Amino acid sequence: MSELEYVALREFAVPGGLVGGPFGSKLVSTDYVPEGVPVIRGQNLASPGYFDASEFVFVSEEKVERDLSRNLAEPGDVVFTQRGTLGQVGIVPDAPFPRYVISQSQMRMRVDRRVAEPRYIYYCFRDPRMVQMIQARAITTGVPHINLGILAELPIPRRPLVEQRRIVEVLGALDDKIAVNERIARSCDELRALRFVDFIQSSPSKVIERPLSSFADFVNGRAFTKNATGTGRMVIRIAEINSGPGGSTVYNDIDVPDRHLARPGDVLFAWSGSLTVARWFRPEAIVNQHIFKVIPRDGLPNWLLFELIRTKLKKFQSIAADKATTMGHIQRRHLDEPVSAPADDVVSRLDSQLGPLWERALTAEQESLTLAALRDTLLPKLMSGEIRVRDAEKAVEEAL
Amino acid sequence: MPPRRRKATEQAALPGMPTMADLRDTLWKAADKLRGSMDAAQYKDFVLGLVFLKYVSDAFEERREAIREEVLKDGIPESRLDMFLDDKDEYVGHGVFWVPEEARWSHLAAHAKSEGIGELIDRAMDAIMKSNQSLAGVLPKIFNRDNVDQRRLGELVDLIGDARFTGHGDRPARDVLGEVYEYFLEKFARAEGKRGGEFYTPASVVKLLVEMLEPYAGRVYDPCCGSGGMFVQAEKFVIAHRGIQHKDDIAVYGQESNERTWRLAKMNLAIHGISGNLGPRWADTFREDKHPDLKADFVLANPPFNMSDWSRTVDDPRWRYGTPPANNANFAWLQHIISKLAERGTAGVVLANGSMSSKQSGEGEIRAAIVEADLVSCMVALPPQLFRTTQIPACLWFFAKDKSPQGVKRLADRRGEVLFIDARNMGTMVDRTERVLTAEDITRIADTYHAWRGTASARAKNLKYEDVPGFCYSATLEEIRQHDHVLTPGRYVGTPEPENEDDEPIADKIARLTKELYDAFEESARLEKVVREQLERIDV
Repeated sequence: MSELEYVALREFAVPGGLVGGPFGSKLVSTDYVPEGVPVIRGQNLASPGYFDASEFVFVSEEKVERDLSRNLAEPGDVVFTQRGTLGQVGIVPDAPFPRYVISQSQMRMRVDRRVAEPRYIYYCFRDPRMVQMIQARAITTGVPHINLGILAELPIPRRPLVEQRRIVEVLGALDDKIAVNERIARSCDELRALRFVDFIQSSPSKVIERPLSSFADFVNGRAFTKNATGTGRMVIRIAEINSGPGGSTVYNDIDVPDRHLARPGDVLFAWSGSLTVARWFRPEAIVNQHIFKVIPRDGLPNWLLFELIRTKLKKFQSIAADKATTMGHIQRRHLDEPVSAPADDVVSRLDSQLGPLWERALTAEQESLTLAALRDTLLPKLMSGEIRVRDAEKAVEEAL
Repeated sequence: MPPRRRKATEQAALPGMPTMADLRDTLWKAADKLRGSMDAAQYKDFVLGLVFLKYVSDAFEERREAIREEVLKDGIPESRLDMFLDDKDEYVGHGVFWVPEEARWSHLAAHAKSEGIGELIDRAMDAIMKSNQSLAGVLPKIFNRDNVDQRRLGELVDLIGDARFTGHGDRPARDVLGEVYEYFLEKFARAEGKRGGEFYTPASVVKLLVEMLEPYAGRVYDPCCGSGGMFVQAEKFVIAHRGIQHKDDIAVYGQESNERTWRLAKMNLAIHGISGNLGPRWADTFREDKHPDLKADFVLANPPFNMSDWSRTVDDPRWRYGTPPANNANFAWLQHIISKLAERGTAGVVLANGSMSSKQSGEGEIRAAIVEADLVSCMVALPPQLFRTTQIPACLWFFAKDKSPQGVKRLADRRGEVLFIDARNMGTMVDRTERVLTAEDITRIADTYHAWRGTASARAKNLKYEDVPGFCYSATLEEIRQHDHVLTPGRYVGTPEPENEDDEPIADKIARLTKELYDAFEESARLEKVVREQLERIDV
């Protein structure tokens, strides 16, 4: 293939296909109504998938006709962040709404299907080099932002549609698999929680009441971010539990005792802030302060401790929220409060039913880590043409 | 960098039928551009001073036009018209300021080029103050200083003089410029960041205070009134519920210690046609109480949180429940406010959360004494991030001097009880950093309080009070004693009922989730194949 030609994004849009959000005053929180036309906001672009449709606010049809008719988006449009987390991108999904309004902080592009695939444009913006370019061109007075002019000029590698599709199919397959893995993990967790609660409620004779602290050792992490070396294992703070490693994640070469290490499948319990209990699924890492590593006693399964903590979580959260300080937390004595747990002689039967759901969720999460790493390696190289995709017909069987 | 094309789109939205909100926003953006290197706090005095000048001039012209029409309708010959038009009483009697010729906007516009705009405006301010006793010493005379860029000032005058910001017909100057003034106050509060909190309380919080207290008639007092937002909102409440003819049913009393803020408040009241008493000048409420004999029916206040440097006199008679500590004025504000309440007065105060639970430096004892005196009617825990200017979580204290049924008012007897409301989960984020209480949130909180108190408004809506786990609880003094007189609502309202979200029977839910999981497995297996196929096509 010859050298790739980069052309401005606007050349891939239909005429007038690049539009911004409304004036700030044209769309304010008081315009929001319980149903109507959904508004696409930053959070809809925040997930790693094409689009996060889990939460919308709405405005009325009348409001749209009156003030927002120039700020509409429809399925297949590509949406970009104008201000906020620069570099975010999404594709408006086919269902369940026929049209959307974009908020003040978004811009959208209607792709000219004769020259580009919407998902191709989307993946161009997932390229870390593109994100860097956007950040470099951003206007930094006030909240850093870009505008339609800057967006329209961003360079996109020009390729024939058939080549675009090949790239999109590879990356799309990986992303789709990640998405289904998320669904598997979530379903497994919900199902297990439900069946556990059902057991506790319906089998009173097989339920015992004992202090939560009698079921496990709650090992508090230490201040391991101090004097960090920047290399080695990740230090797990609450941010890493919630959303994995990011720009501010700390790495440390320090040697720590086993009880301060989290490995895939371990239960972690953040006992300050918003209070979370989580299953660690990333590679071995170091547990920082304010987080308990929960080590079950007497060979109890991890999932059981996870569920026991979860039944107390609401209570713990309200204790923490009542602290006058901004950073709420619970104290060790709160762990001594009783919980309802299955009696010793039924644990192993329950484990054989519910343990696999825990394991399957973990497997899905771990597999997604690999898939994501593969995608992030391939994406920039596919975009730059450094590696290419063969025609499907020519593909050969290769053992992976 | 590619050419910026944003300009064209911004301006393109203007023709056609722009709303008032658009206009305000356009005006703000343009004014903000002219700010140049001046800091927001300083610039505020220029812009708001000019908006005020525009207002008095517009209101004057409106009245002048009305007089002309009346006179001509009465058949009085035109030759005698001027006599009526220049009769000062015809203006003052209608709540309009007398604006001498040289202070009228038309005069400024006509002579700006020849005489130097800064000097002209300073003279106009002076002339208005001389002709109107109530504005003496209030208006800024800062426009002709050396540090003022006269060219920019001229542009700013043109901008504010824009015909679209003139009152007309059904939108008198008071409405148009009153809105502009309020909008600018809010914008400046944001621009000033932390310090902006001194003169501005977020609108949704003020609204909640007013809706709780329902100040239909009587004396309304704010001991730290900032730019006067509480008064404007109280006035709006009266007009909304009783009509414009009742707007003078409330009398406004305020005090403010910051000179510039005090001026802003005076102008804010004037522009909204509220005749209030903010004292003859600015002053510190603790050192120099400007309303020593006032007994207020309603107190609305948002004192500075945790003020550590304040003028404290140990044996001040206001400290009936204990001398507040030197390093925190929270309980000084609360006791000052209690001391101002009339026999049946009520108060709503915004304060930092620490005030509900602190036990340092005797604050615990003061709180206990106030609770035991049965003065607290309601405590509301607010959601975080309502105040752009501070990250400190805040709460609302409500006092009622008399919690008995009060005869014909037929209120519920709430002596010995306190209502706790936990509103921490309410509100909607309007951007990354700021939350507001929605109209529904405000109604739910206020309705809960009114139902508990058994007010006429609650009876009209047929509301009955009930404890709601996780949201509200009516506690007895005995229960509060058990909690050591800590007033944090979270301690009393308990945890919400476990959400049985959809009432779906658990067996059905298990069956549904199981099916969803199996479907995901199948999809996963199919995708596994697709991923293999696709990866095999990669040509490294």
